[in-house]
Amino acid sequence: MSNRSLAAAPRSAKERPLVTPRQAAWCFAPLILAFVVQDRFTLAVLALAGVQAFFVASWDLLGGVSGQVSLGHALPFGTGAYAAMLLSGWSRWPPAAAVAGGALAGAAAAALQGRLGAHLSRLSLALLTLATAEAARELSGMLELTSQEGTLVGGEGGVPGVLFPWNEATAARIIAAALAVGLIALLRVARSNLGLAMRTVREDDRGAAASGINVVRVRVAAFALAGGVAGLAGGFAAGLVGRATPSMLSLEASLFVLAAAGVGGLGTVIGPATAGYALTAVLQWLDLSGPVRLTIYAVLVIAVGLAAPEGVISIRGLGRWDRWRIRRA
Amino acid sequence: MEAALQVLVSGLLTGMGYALAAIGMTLILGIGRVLNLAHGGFFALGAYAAFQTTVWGLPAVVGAAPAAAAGVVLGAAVERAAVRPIRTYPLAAAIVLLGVAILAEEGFRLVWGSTYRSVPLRLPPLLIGQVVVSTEQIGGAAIAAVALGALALFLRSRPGLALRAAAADPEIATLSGIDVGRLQTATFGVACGMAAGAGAFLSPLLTVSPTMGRVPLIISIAMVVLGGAGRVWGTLIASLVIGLLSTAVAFYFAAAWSYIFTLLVIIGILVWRRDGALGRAER
Repeated sequence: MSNRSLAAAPRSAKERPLVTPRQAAWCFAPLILAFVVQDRFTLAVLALAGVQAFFVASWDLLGGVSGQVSLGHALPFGTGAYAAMLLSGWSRWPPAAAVAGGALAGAAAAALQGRLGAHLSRLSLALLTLATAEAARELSGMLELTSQEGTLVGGEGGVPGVLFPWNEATAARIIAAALAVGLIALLRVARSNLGLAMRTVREDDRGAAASGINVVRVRVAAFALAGGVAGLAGGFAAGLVGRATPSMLSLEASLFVLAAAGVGGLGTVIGPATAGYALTAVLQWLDLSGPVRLTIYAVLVIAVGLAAPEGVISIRGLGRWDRWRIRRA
Repeated sequence: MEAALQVLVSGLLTGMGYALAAIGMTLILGIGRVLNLAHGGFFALGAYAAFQTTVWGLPAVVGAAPAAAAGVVLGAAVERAAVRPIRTYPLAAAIVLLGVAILAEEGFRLVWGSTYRSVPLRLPPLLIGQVVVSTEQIGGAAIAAVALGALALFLRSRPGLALRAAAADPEIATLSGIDVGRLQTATFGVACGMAAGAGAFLSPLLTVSPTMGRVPLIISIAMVVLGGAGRVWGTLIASLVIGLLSTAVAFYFAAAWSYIFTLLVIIGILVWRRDGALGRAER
């Protein structure tokens, strides 16, 4: 425990640059890749990988930086997807506006999760987020609406919207550009005074409250920001297939995030994003079936949980030997 | 009136079946300080065992004994391999157990396939007054009641005292010579066996599929948070209440609403009772 608090002692915002050159390079790598690659299948894979990287990075602001592990991050993701499809398909909003609407809806959904769970311990919060996402998934499978054309939409088939009018290359590039901007924004938030407050609350919420931090507000802000980015990712994900489905709210989606963020290293933003990107790209490229993917996620979650149960938050920035020693201790 | 009576009887019988799983979960929380998110996997194991026995022409209840035995052994193994090394990190343990649950789902998919299956009732149903009850369900609820009675007697015995001491304060219990680690493994195993037994008893009411364990998991969690983590009698009463209410919701609205009702119970109690809902798991 002592090792952890030493290594993870919150640093002042001015001590390091907001985004290091190396982090910036990682942020732009997917964009460069999207311009280099010409093959249409690979571009489609990269577009999806970008979306999932976004999703994982947003979770990391919440679970890693602010220490509020959510088992229901699919809720803002799926809410964003549904909102984007309803806005683009029914209200005929252009794709960019629909995705922005998705982000707002995701932020609102996550802020609700955060508000409900602001006073809970980590385990209770994890359970609460799981329950809220499951309830939303179940509702999404039950509620049906009559569209303007008079057809019944919703239910297990999901809500169709507008397939964003982008070819594979455009989609991959737009998403990679959004990802680069989004990751830099997330890194800046993590390094800002708000991010400092989030890390302080993560380490010791009573101490944070004693030093004048409004713990509830910081926690809800982390949920809302993370939910906004997740909703954005959800809007993109739905736009790529032209439909929002209940599976976007499912436990599988939340489990994927946990696996990728755990592998990438909690609290580093870039690590989880890269892990999410690589994991999605490889699995999508190999065209593995759903059960095989789920098995891989489960194995990763178990392995990371056993190897670094305290989260890998604290051991970043140390040598490999130190990390090993801390884990052994 | 007959409908209400029918709902009352089947709700209580269902609640009794789920009580077996929920009390197992509450014991794990109380003694092991772990939220077993793999509980539904063991429930599903029991349901598949019951399905397999009906394939062989026997009543589903017969599958309960081997299912419970398998649950005990596998549960103890999971505790040793996946829970014990990280017991001091309750959240990590819960997440690892969630991973185990997903692995179990994929295991069921490999063995029994993805198809939805139903467990037929082999024994003739009983007609008591105007109420129809399946013999299997009565048998299952009776066996569950006997098992819970045995548990209550055990908790009053000398080894049971050790168990309660380990639940109250593991460190002091260790100092008085109780092997708390072994007790925790045994509790986890027995609780998983209880979940598997509940799965076997309730299987005729459910659709058996690889992911079927998720709903019983949520139901058990709701019963535990309503009844109080680590409280056997509270959980039993909560089980009957939730069994009754969710059956009523399923009867008067739709079956899917009863799952949402259970989720809302969890959300409501977590928000209302805050961390009291999960007891001392994180203390």
